[in-house]
Amino acid sequence: MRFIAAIKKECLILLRDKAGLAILFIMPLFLITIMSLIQDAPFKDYKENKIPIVYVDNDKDSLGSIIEKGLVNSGIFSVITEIDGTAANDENTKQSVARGEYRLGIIIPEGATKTMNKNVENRVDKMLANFGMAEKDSTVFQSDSIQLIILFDPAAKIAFRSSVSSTLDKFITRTEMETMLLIFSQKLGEASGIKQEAAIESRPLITLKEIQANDSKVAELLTNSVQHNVPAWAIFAMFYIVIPLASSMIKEREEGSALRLLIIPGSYMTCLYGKIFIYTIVCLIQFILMMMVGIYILPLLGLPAFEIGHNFIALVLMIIACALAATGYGFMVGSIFNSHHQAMVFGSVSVVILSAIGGVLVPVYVMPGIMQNISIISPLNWSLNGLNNVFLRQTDFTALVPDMLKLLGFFVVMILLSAKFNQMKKYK
Amino acid sequence: MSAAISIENLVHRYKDAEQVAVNDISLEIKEGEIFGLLGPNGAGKTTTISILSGLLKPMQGKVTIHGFDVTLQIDESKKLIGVVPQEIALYPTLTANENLEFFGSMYGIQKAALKDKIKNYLNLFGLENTGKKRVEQFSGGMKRRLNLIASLLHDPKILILDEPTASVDVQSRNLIIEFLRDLNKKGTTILYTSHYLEEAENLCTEIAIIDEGKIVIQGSPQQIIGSQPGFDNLETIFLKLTEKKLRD
Ligand SMILES: Nc1ncnc2c1ncn2[C@@H]1O[C@H](COP(=O)(O)OP(=O)(O)OP(=O)(O)O)[C@@H](O)[C@H]1O
Ligand SMILES: [Mg+2]
Repeated sequence: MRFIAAIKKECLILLRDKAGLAILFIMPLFLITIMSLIQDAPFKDYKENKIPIVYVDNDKDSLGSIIEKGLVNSGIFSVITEIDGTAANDENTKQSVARGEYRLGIIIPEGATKTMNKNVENRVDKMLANFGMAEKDSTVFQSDSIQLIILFDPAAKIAFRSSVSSTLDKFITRTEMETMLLIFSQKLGEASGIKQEAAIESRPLITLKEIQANDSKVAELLTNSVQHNVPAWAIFAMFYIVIPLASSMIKEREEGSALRLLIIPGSYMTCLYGKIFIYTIVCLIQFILMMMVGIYILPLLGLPAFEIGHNFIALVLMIIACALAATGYGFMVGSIFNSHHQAMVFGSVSVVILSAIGGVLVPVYVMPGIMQNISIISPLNWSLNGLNNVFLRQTDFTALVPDMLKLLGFFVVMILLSAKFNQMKKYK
Repeated sequence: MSAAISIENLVHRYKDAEQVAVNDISLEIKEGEIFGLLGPNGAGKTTTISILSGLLKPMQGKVTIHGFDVTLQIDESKKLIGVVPQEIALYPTLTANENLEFFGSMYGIQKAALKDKIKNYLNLFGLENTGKKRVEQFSGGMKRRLNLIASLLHDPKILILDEPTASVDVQSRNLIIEFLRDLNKKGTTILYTSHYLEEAENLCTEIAIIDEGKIVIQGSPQQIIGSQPGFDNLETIFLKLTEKKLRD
């Protein structure tokens, strides 16, 4: 069989190309190990370092303690109530935040609970009055607003300010609503107050969602250096196949063996398909090796082990789609360029750019908004996204289909483009 | 004898080139001939061969191989020819055996038959001990001989050779020439280019000298020498017809 012969030839050439093998297998292993080690600390910071918030509770009543509990439970803030050994008060809080020692301070005014309760009670009374009586209450309802003071470090970014403000806002609205409900039901004499209070406190008052990217679970899991770097650099290595693949195609043309193939009827295309086949297999082997490093080697270096998820069929299909896309890309570069130099420079620079855009160097969710939008043009992003779907989100197969189709579509487009260029080369 | 190769009004100009490489050439190479296509550097020999082997699409003209049009019936015409390219066309990191096995398989030759053939040819060309050696470790002459073998494996009816004896020693050259003569006796038509005029004069049954893409003279070596009074060998006639200036 001609196809078998083509594959055998490709294997032999590949196995004898020591530098090519190093690029294919050794380089990515180093990349994964080194990047996981380097990024271990920053990832931990991202996950574990909380924003210190100076908390001055002049209220010393239920609203003050509900907010404090909420802040603590949020997981975003670490609540500080002492500055340099003395209890935080209005003065020293203002000063230390202004000096930038803390980025954030919150002062709950005296009597905040009382004010809130009064407001709520007024409102409830008015509502009950509206329900129960035909004639309207003539007294105008006056509510004193609670002046909650948020202090920001002058250097804090606007985005940070607004997200903290809106989080606190939601907080207070919610507390207000809950207090209102409580008083409402107390007044109606239906349920016991104690039971209600317990119910309120057990509710989570603030969630991570308001501040972090919308996909909180993934964000949380991804804030682990290994979980990001292993698939990211495995994909990078796969696409880096552009170098050995394009180089092998150009070499074949330079050495003249391509000429001989063109003279043998039908053999040129057979060989090109053989190449695509072999390099796709190489991509798969590469990927499996990378996963093994993540699972077995990285833990030996004190890093967490790589989580591979449970859906193996989805994983295999996803990897094949990635491998085809990567091989297709290399094939296209090898078809377009005539010199090694051009292909190497274009190939490596383009893969680095596509991987930066695609979230290999830093995860997409920590990129600025514009870059997050741009990232969707990179096939490395589709690959990474699809694989993370398998590894982290544990989604079912249908969720992978869009990325898989994009990768396969990319492969087809690359092959068609290459065919065009190969045709042009043939009849120069 | 019928025409093995027929070339009618062939014109080819490379993209971006100012001059035409092949300028209205018409030739007929009969079955059983050893045809020598001679000419100085840049005359258009390789271009003509590339068109014959289906590597280049001619701008104008019609080329057939045993009646098959090389641009329309590419596969049929390719099957009839074996082409020995001017440059070595082998995989340097593969061994001689691996190269021959691969190209033989690409021609669809059965494995057992192929193994026998390879062994015979390697013996014939004095490469019997180098089958397991990588081509990159071969000398220039060894590479040329292997380059030739790789084009013979499928027993082509027509063998086209572009300077098969360039840069090889006398022993190798004689071996190759004797081999071609033998092959021709067994019925293979041969088209060959060379810069060695004496070699061509001895080997060829028919010769065409081309210069700047045009045929300058054509005939058997004896006819050509006879047609030029005062000249008694091909080389002097060649120099007279193509003049002494250097070509590119
Ligand atoms: N790829 C190409 N692109 C442009 N011009 C070319 C190309 N190949 C050859 N030529 C030009 O076409 C003409 C014929 O070249 P060709 O290679 O056919 O000559 P040749 O007779 O084989 O010469 P030589 O004896 O040196 O091998 C030359 O002028 C050459 O410069
Ligand atoms: Mg030539």
